[in-house]
Amino acid sequence: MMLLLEPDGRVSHSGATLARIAPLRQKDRIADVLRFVSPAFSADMDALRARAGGRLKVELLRETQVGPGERPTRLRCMAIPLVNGGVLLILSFSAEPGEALRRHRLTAQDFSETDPTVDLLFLKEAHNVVLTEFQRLSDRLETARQAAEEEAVTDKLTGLSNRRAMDIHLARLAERQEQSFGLMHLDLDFFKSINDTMGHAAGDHVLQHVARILRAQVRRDDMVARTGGDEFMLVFADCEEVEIMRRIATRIIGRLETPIDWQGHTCRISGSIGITMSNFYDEIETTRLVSDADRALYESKRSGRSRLSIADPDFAGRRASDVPPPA
Amino acid sequence: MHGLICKTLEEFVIAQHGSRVWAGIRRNADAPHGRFEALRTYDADLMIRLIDATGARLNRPVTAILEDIGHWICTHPPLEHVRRLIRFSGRTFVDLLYSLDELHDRGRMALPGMDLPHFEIAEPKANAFHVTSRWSFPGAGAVLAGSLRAMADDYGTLALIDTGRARRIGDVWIDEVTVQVIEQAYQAPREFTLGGVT
Repeated sequence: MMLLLEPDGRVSHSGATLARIAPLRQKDRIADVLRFVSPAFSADMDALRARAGGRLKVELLRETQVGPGERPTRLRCMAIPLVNGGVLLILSFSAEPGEALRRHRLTAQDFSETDPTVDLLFLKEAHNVVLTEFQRLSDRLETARQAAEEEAVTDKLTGLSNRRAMDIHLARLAERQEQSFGLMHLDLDFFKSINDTMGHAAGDHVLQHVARILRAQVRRDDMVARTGGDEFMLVFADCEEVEIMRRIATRIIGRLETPIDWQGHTCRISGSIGITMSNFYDEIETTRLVSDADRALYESKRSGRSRLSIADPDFAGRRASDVPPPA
Repeated sequence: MHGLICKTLEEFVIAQHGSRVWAGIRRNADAPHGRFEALRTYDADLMIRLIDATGARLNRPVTAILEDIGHWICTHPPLEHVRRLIRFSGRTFVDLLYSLDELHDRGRMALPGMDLPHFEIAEPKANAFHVTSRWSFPGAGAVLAGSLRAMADDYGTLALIDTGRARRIGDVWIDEVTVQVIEQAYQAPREFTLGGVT
């Protein structure tokens, strides 16, 4: 793009592309056509000659297709003084010519064969294609990552959370400290004999049945995890009353003792439970809570199974208090 | 081989014949499970097995399928960006022919690691062009012939395009394509505005 200025400041010729963007009129003078914006100076021939060779930025006063509120296109510009006293202005688009090209619907025909603008635009479009492809790839990876994460915290057989998920959940609760919650550790009674006498398929069926029982006892913010072969852990959020925990545990044991049908055979199990509460402690320390609940569970097993025990953390080494379930 | 090329075959077969046909072709070619990723590199032998399996499944010569793929990548609406990138090569169809020798470098500029064929162009008689393709795989000439037919339409040019003989020297496959331009401005070209991508 170029403009030819006569020594007296008249515009005598404009390149075809420039004429398309901002048509010239008869007897146009430089100040009718251009505004120098950066550096800003008044458009006269002396000022222009003084800035010959430097980088100038201009706006075209006669630019067409500029909608209300839109900025006129800014062009880069360089002035070359001519021997006859005139000046040749060479103009080009800025680093991002996209908007100006769209505004004036320019095509490859509007650029000279040696102008690298078209190659720049090629690169820009190619770049966009590659970026879009990267975006898609990254979306697919994110979906796969979420699925893998889900899988990593789920027990496949029962669909309950697994040990890893429980550890993460407890760690989060410990981090927050302020929340009161109850922790229950359940170990099935007589499960081993089902596995031994009726086979693993029967055992799996029983575990899935147990999972349904436990899930029915919790709310949305609670967590049930299968943490071992026939071991489960439950966390009850916002729970301050040990009596509530006691009632839930009693109900669970009752449900577990209802005979389970497996292909015409009857499976009978029960459960031993240990309970501890976060408000038993001045500071919530997950390993301590888990080991106290575990100790209480052991107490239930030791004193005859099918019952629950409450942990007594004030006497860490002492035996947890036995609490037989109400009949 | 660049994943973009592998993915092109995959998307072509799925778009034209459905994903069940493609799944069958993958099985016959003993291809690993899953879709091609455009930004990864794949084993070249796998690609050759897939192309052969595609020909067998569709009961058509491989060159005919490659010509269709060449045409398809320039005309399939979701791949509009391919047509646009090719239109950047020149103002007219003859300009495009004369820029084919830049295609390999252009591809590499757009996507480092992209290994497109090397093309050479000659015009022994006025408007009768001769394109020689050199690539490490067979079939580049057929794909080019299909693409040039589509692009001639795009530029509104009437031209006869044919694949010539193919030979192999060492690891390089040399294909020939002849182009006879009958009328450059036969009909109105399809629109091509610069700065079309925001």
